[in-house]
Amino acid sequence: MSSNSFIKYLKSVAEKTDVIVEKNHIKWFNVEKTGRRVIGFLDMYYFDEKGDYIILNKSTAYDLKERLEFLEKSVAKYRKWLKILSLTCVFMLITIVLILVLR
Amino acid sequence: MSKYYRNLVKKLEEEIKSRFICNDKVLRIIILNQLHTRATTLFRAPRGSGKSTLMLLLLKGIYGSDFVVISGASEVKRGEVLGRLHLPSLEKEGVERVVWAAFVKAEGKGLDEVNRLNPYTTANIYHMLQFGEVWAYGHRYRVEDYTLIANENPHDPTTFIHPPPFYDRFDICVYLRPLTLSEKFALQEILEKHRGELVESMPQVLSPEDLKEIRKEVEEIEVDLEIRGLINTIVRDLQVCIRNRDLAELKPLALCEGCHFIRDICSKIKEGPSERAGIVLTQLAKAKIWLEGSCTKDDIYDMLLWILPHRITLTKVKNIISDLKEIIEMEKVKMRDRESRRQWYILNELIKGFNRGLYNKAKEIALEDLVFAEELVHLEEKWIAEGLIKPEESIKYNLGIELM
Repeated sequence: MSSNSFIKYLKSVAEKTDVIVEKNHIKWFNVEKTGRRVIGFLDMYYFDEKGDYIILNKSTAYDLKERLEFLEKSVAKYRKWLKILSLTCVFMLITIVLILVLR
Repeated sequence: MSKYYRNLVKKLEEEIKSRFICNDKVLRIIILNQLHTRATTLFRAPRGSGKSTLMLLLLKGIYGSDFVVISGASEVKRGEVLGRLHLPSLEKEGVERVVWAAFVKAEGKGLDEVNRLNPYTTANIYHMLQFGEVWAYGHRYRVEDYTLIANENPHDPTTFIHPPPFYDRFDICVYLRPLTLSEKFALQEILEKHRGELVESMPQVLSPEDLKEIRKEVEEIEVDLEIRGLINTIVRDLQVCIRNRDLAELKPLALCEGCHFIRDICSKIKEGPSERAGIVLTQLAKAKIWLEGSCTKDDIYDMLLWILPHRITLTKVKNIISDLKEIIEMEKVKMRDRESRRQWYILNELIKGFNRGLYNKAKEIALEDLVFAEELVHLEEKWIAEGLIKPEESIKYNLGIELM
């Protein structure tokens, strides 16, 4: 026990140890490695959490599917309206040009 | 200058590598072992595996043609190993003068087929390795720095069984193996390239003066405290036995019957290594830092494999190298357990002052780790004397540890 280098060695190891001593108790925390972190989809969407893998439960997946289908249908409907309105605009433009020429 | 010397050592390694086929890691250990004073190396291999060639390549690379090899296979006389009387002086002047043998005076020394050396020659060489001197006819010759490289095939017939302390004087013991198929082709190419003259074509890369300077530089290298701690802990792990096997009449496994630590590394070892194991590991660590710039914990475990085969006796041996590898793996797990138990932190706190809670935790740890238990017993002796704990609650009392 009297060796100075042994005491120095223990001190150097102790300094690198993350331990909390409270009166007669000693505790430490095993730090979780964040290399392969897994988070939920809603946490990622609403709380902007970062992770390597994102988990999606079945009900959220079906909600997403319905929402996507609704959006796809809306997109198709608006695309149809867009074509009709574009054709109307072209027809009206031609009509205006003809009226002006024939006057 | 260090860089110049480092390049010389690397060149020596390259020259040997271009003439001899063996594992790169093994060759590096052999090279590292030549970088401290009074370096002794032992090669073990079946016949025809090139152990004598490797010995000669190393000696020639360092000492040119200025080295002496004694062969155990031939009749070795005392005068060839130590010295002989100078007869003219005795006849004319009546004075006993000794003509010291070239083997004693040469810095480069080789021992071929060590296991076939006769016990008298072995005893003389042992004395030289132990005390750095030789005696003949009442005269003493002080041996300065040297490099001793030896080889043997322990399974050869006509083998003398030399005492374990003799082998313990060799810093490392490297096992060479026969060549694989592709290596045999490579050997043929090497032989063609050098026209079959591997040793003759080997240039002298280092001079004895260079080696002296290198050894001086290596000696001055400081090894990190954590690495020194690892070395000392490993060596103690391999030595420790709660039943003091070194002094016991019974030896493991018979001695281990009913022992609390029967599943530990100690039960696999009949005779542990001497303190030289730690000294040599430190020297190799210094050499590695000098040559490569660093020495990690994994490097220490790699080196351990060549420090132990000749200075440890196992209870059961199937294949000494694979058995030792198994022990080294167990040792790694043991070290990880120590870290996860934070035991050195606890010991450090207990050294600062007694704490009942920490002491109870330390007692639990002592049941898992005998090396830790020994250190705790040291503290307990002090605490018992101070009246802080009762003798019957101590780990010394409960495990029956006797420190002498």
